[in-house]
Formats: sequence, C-alpha cells, structure tokens
Amino acid sequence: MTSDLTSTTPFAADCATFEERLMAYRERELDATTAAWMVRHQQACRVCETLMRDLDALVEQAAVLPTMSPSRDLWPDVLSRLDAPVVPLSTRFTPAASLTTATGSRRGVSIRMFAVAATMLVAVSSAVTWQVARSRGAAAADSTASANLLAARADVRPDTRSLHPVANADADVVYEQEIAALRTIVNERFAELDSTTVAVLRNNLAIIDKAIADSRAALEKDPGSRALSSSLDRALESKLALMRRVSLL
Amino acid sequence: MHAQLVIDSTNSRSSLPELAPSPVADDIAAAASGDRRAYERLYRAHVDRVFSLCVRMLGDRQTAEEATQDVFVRVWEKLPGFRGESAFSTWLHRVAVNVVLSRRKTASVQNARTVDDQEAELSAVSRPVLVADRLDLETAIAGLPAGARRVFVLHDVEGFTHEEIGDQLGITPGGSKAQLHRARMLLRAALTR
Repeated sequence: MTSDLTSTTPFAADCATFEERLMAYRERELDATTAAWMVRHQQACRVCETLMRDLDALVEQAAVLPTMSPSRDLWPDVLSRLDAPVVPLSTRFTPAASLTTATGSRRGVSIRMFAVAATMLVAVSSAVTWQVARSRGAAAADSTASANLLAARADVRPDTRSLHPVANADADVVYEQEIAALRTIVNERFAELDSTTVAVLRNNLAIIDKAIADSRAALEKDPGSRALSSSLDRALESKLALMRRVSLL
Repeated sequence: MHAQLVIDSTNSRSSLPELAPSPVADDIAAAASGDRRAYERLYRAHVDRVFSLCVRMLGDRQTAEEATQDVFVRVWEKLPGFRGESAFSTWLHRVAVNVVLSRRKTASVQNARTVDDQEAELSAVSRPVLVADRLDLETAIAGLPAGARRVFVLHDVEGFTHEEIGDQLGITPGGSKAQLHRARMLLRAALTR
C-alpha cells in the first residue's frame, strides 16, 4: 500500500500525501505501515510538524473555551413562558376541522385546553371566594388579599395557614376542589400517554401525595407550625402544578 | 505560527460547575413537580453553559439568547419525563442541541449568518485575523460554515463522540469526522493569517 511512500518520493508530494491522510491519521484509522510513514514524515518535515502541532493546539484550546453569559437575565422571559403553552393558530377555534379529523388529535388538544381553562377558572373563583371569606373572618388578615395577589403573581402562595386553623380547612377545601376537578382530565390523559411516561408521572404524584400526607400528619400534632403549613401548601401547589401540566400534555 | 494559536484559557468544560448530587436531585424532583423556584436554581446553574453552546452552534448572540430561552422552556416541559438515566447536565445538553438543531430547520429562523457553506468557507479562510486569542478563536468558529461549525463545537468544544454527533445531526460518523477535519483546517487557516 505504501510503496509510493518511500524516501524516493518527492518531498512536496509527501506533504500533499500527508495532508490527504491527515484526517484518518488523527482519527487513528490508518494501518500500521501508513501510520508509521506519517510519523516519519512528520518528524522529517518542519511544515507538516507545525501543521500537526497547530491542530493539536487548536483542539486543546477549543476544549477549554470558557462559558459565556447572556447579555441580560433571561429568566423573567423564561418564567413568563413556562405555563403559557403555545397552541398554533391552526388548532384554535377550528371546530369544523377538529370535528372531521379522524385522529382527533386536534380536537383532543382543543377540548382539553378548554377543559383545563374551565377548571382553572373554577379554581380561581374558589380561591377568590376563599380569600374574601378569610379576610372577613380573620381580623389579623387585613393585608392578606393584597399579599395573596402579589404572591399569586409570583406563583407562590403566601403562608396563610398557620395563623388560622379555620382558614387552613378552607384552604384544603379549595385545593381539594381544584385537584378533584383536574383528576378526571388527568386520568383521561393517562389513558392516552405512553405507559412509561405515565409510570413516571404516577410515581411523581405518589411522592407528592406522601409529602402531603406527612405534612398533614405533622400539622395535626402541631397545628400552629408555620413551617409545616407552608410545607403542606407547597406540596399541594406542587400536586396542582403537576396535574395542570399533565392535563396539557 | 504555532505561537499564534496559544489562547488564553481560564475555564474548561472539565471545570464546569456540577452541583452536588443531592441538592440538584432535589431541585430536579421539585421542578418536575412544578416548583419554579427549584427550576430557577437549575436555570441559574446551567444557563451559561447552555448559552455558550447556543452561541457557538448558531454563531450569533441574539439568536442564541432566544434559543436559550427555548431550551429552558422545553426542558421545563420535558422534565417530568427525565428518568435520571444520565446526568441532568448531559440530558439538558442534549435537549439544548436538539432545540438548536430544530431552530435551523425552521426557515424563518435562518438568518444572514447561516449562509451557503461555500460562501462561508471563503469568508472563514480569507477573513483577516488579528493576534490570536480566545476571542479570535470564537470569531473564527462563528465564521465557519454551518455544518463544520456544528460538528466542531459538538466534538472539540463539547466533547461529543462522532457517533453521538452523527445521531444528533443525522449524518454518519464518517461525515462527522470529515466535517471536523474541515473545520479544524479552516480554523487553522483563519488563525494563522
């Protein structure tokens, strides 16, 4: 194979041959004889030796390039998009198309979107009712409504449980209503999704349910604990968030 | 010539921050359940690496910022399905690569930088390069033809194998090797002018 690679080969031609075979050489794909010739030529030829060293340096430097940062904080933009599923215009408000689609996928998405929206509307109404009732019934909750509004904007429920056991019960009712409303949709989605995905989702829900149960059990023993009530709120919020996302899958 | 390629390097992929397993696992589980604060922590820990990948793959910072947002929205959507079979950072990285590649398939996202390969090749070779440093290498990478740039970034910067790159880009490992060699030779030519 390498009869043309003897020392009698013109030097310029050797360099051309070296370059031709350089990729395979660097990928260690040459046979032993040809590889040995490449080594000999590299040692004898300053130009090709420099070429190899340059490529080695390039590879080395590319591997240690530093990370770069965006010019601004992208998180607010990301956050605003997290729970805003984008439904293509073609899938919105196209009852004729959706009703005649054999697969029903578009129809499924549209109906599901409406169902989830309706459920959320009910939940929001319940939450507002609960907040109003709470603020009237609890003298210490003067600023709760505004705090709730602010917290809602930040997608964080304030710590509204610990001061008022009655309010805790009301909060549980609101959460349970929303969970119950979503459960039917979630069960329908489970029937449609891949079994592996469903298994993962069920497992996640089970973990959250256990956290809810643990928090409730602990709260029964220490009803005044702000930390425990916050923990229960977070667990319930997590369950709701997961169920909403499953509904929209 | 070789001295020109010596680049100031203060960071490396080997030194990329990989948070301790436990807090990351907790944040992943919490984020998968809808906890945005946990997800923000994951975002903060990984945004620079994702952005760097996007910049180098796309060759444009503005487009890369948009792609970075897309990546984290996509990861949020897919997180419940993350099974932990690979490290979170590895999985995130794959999602990021897929998002970047899907962007280039969208005609509307094609920008002036994604020019014809041959034209870009000429510009990469003929563009004068100042004293070689890290920024020069970044500039030279951005000037590579799109195909060569993607393979170079994935292989030499990000550390993917040719087989992995082939899977991601829909090319053969041999094609990946050829693109890599082409990219390296173009970069060398650009950096040594």
